[in-house]
Amino acid sequence: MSSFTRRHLFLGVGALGGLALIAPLLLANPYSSRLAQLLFMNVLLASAWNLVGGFAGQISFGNASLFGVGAYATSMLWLAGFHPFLTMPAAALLAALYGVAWGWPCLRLRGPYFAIATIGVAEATRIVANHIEAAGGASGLTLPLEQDLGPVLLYALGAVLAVASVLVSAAVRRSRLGLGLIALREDAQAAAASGVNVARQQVTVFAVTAALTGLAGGYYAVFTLYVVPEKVFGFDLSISLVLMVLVGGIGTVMGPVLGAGIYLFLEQFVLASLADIHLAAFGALLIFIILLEPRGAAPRLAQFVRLIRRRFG
Amino acid sequence: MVDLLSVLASGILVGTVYAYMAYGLGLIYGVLRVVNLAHGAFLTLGVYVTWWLNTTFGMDPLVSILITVPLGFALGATVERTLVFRLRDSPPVTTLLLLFGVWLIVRNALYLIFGGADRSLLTSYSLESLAVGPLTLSIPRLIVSAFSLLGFVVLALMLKRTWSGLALRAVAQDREAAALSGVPVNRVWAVAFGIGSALAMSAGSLMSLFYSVTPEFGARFLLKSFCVVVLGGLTNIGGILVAGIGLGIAEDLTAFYIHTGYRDVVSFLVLTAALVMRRADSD
Amino acid sequence: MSPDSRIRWFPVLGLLLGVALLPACSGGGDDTIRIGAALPLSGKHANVGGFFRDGYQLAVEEANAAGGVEIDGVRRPIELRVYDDKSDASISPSLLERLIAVDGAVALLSGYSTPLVQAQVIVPMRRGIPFMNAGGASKSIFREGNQWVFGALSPVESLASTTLEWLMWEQDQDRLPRPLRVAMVWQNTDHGREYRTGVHDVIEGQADRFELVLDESFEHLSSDHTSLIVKVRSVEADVFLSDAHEPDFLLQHRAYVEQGLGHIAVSYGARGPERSVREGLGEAVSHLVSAQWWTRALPYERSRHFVERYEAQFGGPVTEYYPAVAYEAARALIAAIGNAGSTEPEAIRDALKNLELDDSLLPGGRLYFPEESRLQIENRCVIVQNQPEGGVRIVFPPDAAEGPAYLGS
Repeated sequence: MSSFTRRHLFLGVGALGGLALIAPLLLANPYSSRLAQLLFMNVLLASAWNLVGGFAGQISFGNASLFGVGAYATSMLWLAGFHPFLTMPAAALLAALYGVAWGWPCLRLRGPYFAIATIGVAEATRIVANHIEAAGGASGLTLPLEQDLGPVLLYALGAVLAVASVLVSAAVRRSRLGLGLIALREDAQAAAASGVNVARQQVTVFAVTAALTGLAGGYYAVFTLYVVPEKVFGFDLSISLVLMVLVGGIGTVMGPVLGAGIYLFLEQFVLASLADIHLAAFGALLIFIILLEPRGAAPRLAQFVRLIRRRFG
Repeated sequence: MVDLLSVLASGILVGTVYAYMAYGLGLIYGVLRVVNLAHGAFLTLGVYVTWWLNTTFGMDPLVSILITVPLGFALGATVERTLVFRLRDSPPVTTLLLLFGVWLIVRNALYLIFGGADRSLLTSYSLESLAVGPLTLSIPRLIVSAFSLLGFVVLALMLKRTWSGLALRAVAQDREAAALSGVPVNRVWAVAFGIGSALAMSAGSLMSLFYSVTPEFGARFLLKSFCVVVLGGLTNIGGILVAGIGLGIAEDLTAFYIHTGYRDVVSFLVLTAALVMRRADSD
Repeated sequence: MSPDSRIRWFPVLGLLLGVALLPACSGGGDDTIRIGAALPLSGKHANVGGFFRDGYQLAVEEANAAGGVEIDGVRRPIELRVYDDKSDASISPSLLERLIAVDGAVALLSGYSTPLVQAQVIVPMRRGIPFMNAGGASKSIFREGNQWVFGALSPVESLASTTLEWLMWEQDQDRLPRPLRVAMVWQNTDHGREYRTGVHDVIEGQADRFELVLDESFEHLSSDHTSLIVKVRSVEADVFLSDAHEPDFLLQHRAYVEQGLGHIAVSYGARGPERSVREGLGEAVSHLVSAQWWTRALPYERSRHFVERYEAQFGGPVTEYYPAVAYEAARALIAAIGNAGSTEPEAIRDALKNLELDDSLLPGGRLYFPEESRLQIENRCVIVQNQPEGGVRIVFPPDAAEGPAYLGS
């Protein structure tokens, strides 16, 4: 990771410091700390999805299959007596392995073919998970409430994971790997001709996506203390990732972060209180963004920040 | 033996339904290169319109096709003209998400109008069946299968024999070339989307004969429609028919001989395998 | 706009989001007592969420019409606050946190379906807030050492066990053969799995009474059931038991009729009396037997009162158990708040533990939360049979039965 410069490290530490500073604000009550947990999870998920979905232009509707593997890995190891923190690497590793196992054949496909294949994989995974008795089958697993990590540790874990995912995303974006992927997105044939090993590069990045998504799954299990195939392997989860990234700005580093926040804000504040029309409100917003701001909110915000700078800086 | 035959017959009857509900998705993809995520919305809308016509005016679901087809065409063409059209030069995934937005709005509208409860309708022949040798075949399913075949024939004839069919195929093959040779591409797109939606809504009319409906109805059949369309070759109407029937049979055989719980795993695994294997011609 | 420039404002962004997510301060201040619920008003379980809202609402309105609840000598009105969790297990708990932290809810009412309630109960258990569960029947919801989650719905197993008790009773009357060949299919969800457990628990060690000839699961929201029904036909059972939710039930029974099957008794778990079922299957649902947590035919004063009020307000006939159990659960919670004379969580919890509603509309007429079953009520269900002319008739238990069951050949 030659491209992982000092500056990134510095920014990462800065971001963590910032998150530590505002921690008292977010840990003020159980609801806000729950929101922070969800936000971290969304950031992790959206950044991970964006590596392949944004940089390589390979739209996956099957990331729930990786999320679920991570969630179950953490849950089962936890129930077997391991500390939740120690289960995280296993969640990442197993999800990465599973991601490579199906990403290897599927990533040879492009465009809608890949998208539809991922739906197939994810749905098949969900149904099979429903039948695995050792993992509780369709009833899922309940995790020990008395070993709850508590809001502070959960916040810290989430913050580290979320910042790490953004840094990984930035590193990939600037690496040869990332540039190759972007070249590929723009023109597959030309990229192949110029010596980019298309399939292997995508699989490599997809393994990273899978590992991060698995971590998100593990984190989810740790803060909700209940996993069930219907949720953690569900199609709704896969769809929500795509929406987050699209709302924020696809193919950028900060887009997914922004999207994760906007999505959570809408879900919690706008939609839950508008029970009668929330689906429509969401749909209308989606259409609005796609038609008028197809690159998402990130470029707009960047513009705004630049404007502020010019005024005051 | 009787069991095997019953299962095969059921597979074929279910498979033709799969085919019918997927025609529209395939047609829209073929012409516009757009994955219509609003497909589920049109299916659901078709069932609700049919249900409403039946419970309010006592209209037979098969007669209501005369209403769902033009209504579907109008709605589909409108969606294309007002929304999809604007994204003609964007990457396919943005259109896909746009149509997801349409689906959300339709779902919400259905909740407001009909509520979330399961709805189903009953006709005089809903539960009738026909004894053929040792088999009993359900009349509504036979009717729907006949419609599915009829839909295939009409669609194939239209594509082959009519001028609009020719234009559709020309745009499907090469949009620029078609435009250069004077095909009104914009209008063809709207027509294709309209026909695709009309097919989906009429599929809803037919499905109302045996499925109950909630606003979430479309979701479970959207995925199945994807399977069928991909297996059939995405743009090939005949392929979709064969794929639908093949999938129906494979599912029922799995359910009967392996485990009922695994019937949907088959369709998704077959879908992925088929995709990966046919990647040679997928670009 | 290079990607670097975007990274630079990450801390700024973090701060912005932090500010955006700043929760509004507690909504208390006035003298209303808030109770809250996160219900599936859209999504997979939207068909049921509305029933729960109506049931809860009715109980709250009644309590307010009677002057509210007396706390420290002051009568205070009750407000029900409901959010939509979109049937999503990750949204649902966060809405409960919000109800507690932002809206100042003193107690919570449950959502619907076991997976959602499973996800919800973590919140009251962590926060120490009373939680009244009317929508998740699974025993696994009530964890060991549970102090905060109260169950007004008896376990799914009791649907199965009451059904089998009824079959045994009919055997004792010599109206059913021994051993009885039972074909059972169940949907592969929490609900179905517990139904199956309930059946197995009773059948175990009763080889002289029952022989289980088919035991198979199917996926929820399956697109067709014909092959399963052909399987059921091939095992030649006397009785067909299935545990299915509405869409699967409809398809399954349609295939059952199409394939010309006939059993002495056919039951789809709790399915049968619903309006939509008769809409779709007409005469074909006659004589289906179902186990119910509640049915409008129950001969209790409270039950009649509920039916009258509910149908006057929302139209009828009310054929589902959901609003009745929801009403009862909310009523119990409000009664406990009144008994506690306080809005302190511990006080309400202790009042709930000691609560006993003698005028309950539930089968057995009593609602209480026994410690030995981790605060979940364990009462028998009622067995009803669909009548050819519409409506249902209670056939079991004998003391509530309106007449003998019709048993096919």
